[in-house]
Amino acid sequence: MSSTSQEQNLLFKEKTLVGVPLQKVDSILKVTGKALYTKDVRLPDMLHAKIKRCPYPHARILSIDTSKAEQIPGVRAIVTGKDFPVQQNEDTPAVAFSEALYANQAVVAVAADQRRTSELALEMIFVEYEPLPWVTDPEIAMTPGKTPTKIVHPSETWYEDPNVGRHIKIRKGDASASFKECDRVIEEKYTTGMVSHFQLEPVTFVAQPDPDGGVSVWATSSGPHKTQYELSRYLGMDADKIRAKVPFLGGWFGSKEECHVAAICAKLALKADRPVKLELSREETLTATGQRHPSVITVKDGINKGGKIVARQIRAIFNGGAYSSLGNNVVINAVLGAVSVYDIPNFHMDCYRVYTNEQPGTPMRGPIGFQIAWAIECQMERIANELGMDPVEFRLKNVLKEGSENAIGELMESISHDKVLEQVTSAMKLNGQGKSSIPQDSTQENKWVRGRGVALSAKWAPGGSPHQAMVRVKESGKVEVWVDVVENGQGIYTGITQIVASEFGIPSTDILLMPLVFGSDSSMSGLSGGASASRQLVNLGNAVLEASSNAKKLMAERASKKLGVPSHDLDVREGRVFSKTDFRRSLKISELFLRAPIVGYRTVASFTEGVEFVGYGTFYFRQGKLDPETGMTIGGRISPFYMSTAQIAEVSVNVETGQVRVEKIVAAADVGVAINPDLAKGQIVGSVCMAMGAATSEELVFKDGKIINANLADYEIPSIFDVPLVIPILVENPLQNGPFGAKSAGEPSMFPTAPAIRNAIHDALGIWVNDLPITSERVLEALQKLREN
Amino acid sequence: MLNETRIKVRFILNGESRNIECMAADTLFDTLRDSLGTMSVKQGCDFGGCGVCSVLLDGRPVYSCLMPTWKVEGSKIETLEGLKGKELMNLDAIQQAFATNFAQQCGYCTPAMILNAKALLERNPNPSVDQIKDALSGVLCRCTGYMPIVEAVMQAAMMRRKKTQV
Ligand code: FES
Ligand code: FES
Repeated sequence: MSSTSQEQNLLFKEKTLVGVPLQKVDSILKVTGKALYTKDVRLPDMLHAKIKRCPYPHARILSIDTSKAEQIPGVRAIVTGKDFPVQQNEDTPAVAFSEALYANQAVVAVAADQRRTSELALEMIFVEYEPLPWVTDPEIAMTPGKTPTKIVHPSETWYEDPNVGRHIKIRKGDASASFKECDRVIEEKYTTGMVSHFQLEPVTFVAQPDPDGGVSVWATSSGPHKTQYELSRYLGMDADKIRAKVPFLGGWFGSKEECHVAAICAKLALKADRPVKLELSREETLTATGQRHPSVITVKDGINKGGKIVARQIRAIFNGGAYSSLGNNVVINAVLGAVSVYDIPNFHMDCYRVYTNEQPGTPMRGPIGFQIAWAIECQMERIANELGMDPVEFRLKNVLKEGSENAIGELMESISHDKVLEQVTSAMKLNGQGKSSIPQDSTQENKWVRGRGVALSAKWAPGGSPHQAMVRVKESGKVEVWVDVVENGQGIYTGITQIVASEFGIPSTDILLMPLVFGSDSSMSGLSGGASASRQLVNLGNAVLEASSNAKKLMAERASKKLGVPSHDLDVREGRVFSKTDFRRSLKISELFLRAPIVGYRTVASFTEGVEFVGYGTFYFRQGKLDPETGMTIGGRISPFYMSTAQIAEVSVNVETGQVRVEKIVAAADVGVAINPDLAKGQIVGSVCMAMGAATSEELVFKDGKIINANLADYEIPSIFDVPLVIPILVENPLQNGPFGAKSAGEPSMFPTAPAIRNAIHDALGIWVNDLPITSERVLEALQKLREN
Repeated sequence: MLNETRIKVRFILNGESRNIECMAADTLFDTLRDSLGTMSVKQGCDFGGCGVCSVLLDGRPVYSCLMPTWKVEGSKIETLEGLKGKELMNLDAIQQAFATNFAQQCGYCTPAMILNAKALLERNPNPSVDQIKDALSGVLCRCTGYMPIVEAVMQAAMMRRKKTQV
C-alpha cells in the first residue's frame, strides 16, 4: 500500500460512525412528544370501531342479529364472518365464521361516528351461541381418547395425535440405547406459563379507502410488507392496491402480528367508505391477541463418568391456542434452541405445537427459544449439582466448539460460547453451594438469603426474510435512504443511519432516512421482511450497503470521463469522487450534477443527465429445510449464524415469605460488532428486565377457559422498584457476512435470565423450582418439600 | 340514548387559556387528545395502571385517564407540548438529558417520564436515586429497564443546578 493510500485510509477511518454511541436519530422527536404512533393517527371524518367478542372458550354461532344496531344514528358499518372471502387454507379468520374457538374471539365489529356509539351498537347486537366442549391443557388435548374436542384445522398436515398442528423430530444417533450405557440418567420436567409482550402501546389500526379502490392501513405491525400481503389474503384484494404504513411502534417484542385484526379495520373502512380507527383496549390486547406459548418440556440426559452428556432426549409441548397464526412456523425455534449450545452425540427431540381453546400463541422476543433455554439451563444446573461439578466447568465441558457441527448438521461458526461464560464469571464470581462468598446478613431477624446462578444460551437468526433498499445521492452530497424499516425502540433507524453514513464517510446528519419522515411504508420502499427474529440489522444493513455501493458505481462511471480515470479506480467518500491510487484526482459530488432554472431565472435546481445516482440492494438468505424424519438440514442452513449469551444472576430470597428479589445480573452477549454500543447495551438491559418479569411474576391465568387477570393490578410487569442492577457486557466476535461485522442484540439476552435466577435461588436455599413464573408460593412449596425430605 | 349534556370548562393548557365543552363522562385524557390535539399524552392501559397518560395538574403529576375533565376547572395543565427550554433546539434540560442518555427506546413512556421528572425537580432540585425512583414509580416502561431514565434525571438535575448557580 502506498503511503498516500494509507493516509487516505486513516483519514476515512476517523469518519466512520461504526462503534460510535451516536444519539438516537429519533430521540428529539421522542423527547418532544412529536413522534407519531399508530394510536396518534387521526384522519378527517374518521370512524371508531369496536368488536363484540365470544364469551365462551368454544361455541357454535347460531345467529347474529344486527338489525337494531343498524338503526342507531351514526353507525356506518357492521362486519361479521360473512363479509370475508372463504379461505380454503386459512386458519386464523378475521372474525369467527360459524364457530368461535377461544374466549374473546371477535364475532362482530362495528364502526360509528363516535366511540360511544360503537359501544352502544355492540350492546344492541344479539348473538346466539351453543357452547361446545373445550380444552386448554395441551397434554390432554393431544391425547387420543382424552381430549373433549378437536380443533385441528382441515387445511393442515394431519398428525397421528389429535390437535397436533406441528410435530418436528430430530433423530441423531441412538439416544435410548446410549441411556443404558450411561453412568447416570437424569430426567426432569419443566413448564412455562402464558406471558404477554405488554408493549405499552396497545394494538391499533387505522384504515382509509383509497381513490383507486384500494386501502391504506396504518398498523402496529412489525413490517408494512407483511401487513400488505396478509391483508391481501384476508380481503381478497390485489396486494398492489394495499398500502401498509408502520409509524413508530410503542414497543413491539413480537406482538402486534395481528393482521386478522387489521383485516377487520380495513373491511369496515371499505364498507363504510370512510377512514376507520380500531383501538384494542389493554384487556383485549391481553385476552384476544397472541401471547407467548405456554410450554411443558421434558429433558432426559445420559451422562458419562467424566461429566460429558452422551445422550439427550427432549419432548417439548407448546400450547398453540386455537389457530396457527405464526405459531406453527415459529415452533421450529424449539429445535434451533435445543441444538445451538451443547455438543451431544445422541440427540432425540420431539416438539409439538398443540391446538387448544386459548387465543393463538404468537412469537414473543426470542419465541419458543425462551422456553427451551429455560428447560435446558435448569437441567444443566441440576446435572452439575448431582455430579458435584462446578456449573461453569460442566457447561464448558459440553459446549459446542467453533467449527463443530450441531445436531441438525449446521457448522457452528463465529460463536463465542466459552467467551461469554468467561466474561460473566470474571465480572461476578459464582457462589458455589455451601461455601458462600457473598456477604450474608447473619442477624437473627434477617430472613433474606442470597445466592448466585449462571446460564448460557445462544440465539439464531433464521434466513428466509428478504430485505431491499434504495439510496439516492443528492447534489449536496446528502443521501436519501428508502427502506421499509420498523423502529420499535431498538434503534434501527439510528443503526441504518450509521451504516450508510459510514459507507459514504459523511456525518449522520447528511443521511435522509425516509421512514423517519414518513414512517415505514410498503408503497414507498422495496420488499422487506420487517423486524423479526433478530435479523433486521444484518439483513437490511447488508441491503443498504449493497445499494450504497451500487449508487457509488453509477457516480464513478459518470466521473470517470471527467477525470480520465477508469471507474474501478474511483471511490466515493466525504462528498467527493476520487481516484483510489491518486487522491488528488477528485471531483466534488456536485460537479457530477447539472443546474437549470426551474422557476423563472432565479431559482435553479440540480439534476443528472441520464439516470439519477440511485442504487438498489437486496439481501436474501435462502433458507434450507429440516428433514421430516431426521431433523437434519437439507438444501442449506436454517440459521446463517448464532449469537452466544451468558448471564450470572444474584438474588435474595425471603425464607419466610418466599419472595424473590433479583439484585444484580451480569449479562454478556456476542453482538458481532456493535454498530452503536449504547443501543446494543440498551437491548441487553431491556431484555434482561423483561425476562426477569417472566421469571418472577408474569403469567396470564386461565380459569374456566378464560383469562382472569387481564389488567395491570393482577398482571404485574416490572416497575422501577423491581428491576435489578444490570451490567451489560458486549462481546465482539465479528460476523463475516454481517454489515461491518454486526450480528444483532434484540433477543438473545432474553434467554439466560430466568434460568440464571432459578439457579441462583437454588444456590441460596437448595431448592429446585421447575415452573415459571417462580412465584413466592412456588418457592414456599419447594422449601416445604425440602424440609419434608 | 346517549347523554349529550355538555358542561363548560375553563383551564390553562400549556400557558394558553382554553374554554371547552365536555360531557360528564369525558376524562381529561379524552379531552386532551380528542378535542385539543395534545397527542403526546399516551394511553397504555384501560384504567389507572400504567401512568403513560400522566400530565401535570397545577404542577403535580396526575393520570389523565382517571381525571374527569369537568374537575380541572380553573387549573393549570401541562403536557410535553408545553415544555420548552434553553438547551440546544429549545429543549429543556430534562429533554436534553433523556435524548443524550438513551433514556428512551420506543419512547411511548417518555412524555410521562419527563413530566414526572419535571414535577420532581421543581420540588427537589437535588434528588437522590431513591427519590427519583419514587417520583417515577407511577409510570411503567417496558423497554429500557428504567436505569437510563434514572440516570437522565440525575443528569438533568445537575444541568439545572448549574444553570441556577450562574
Ligand atoms: S392510560 Fe394507563 S394509567 Fe392512564
Ligand atoms: S421506552 Fe418503551 S416503554 Fe419506555
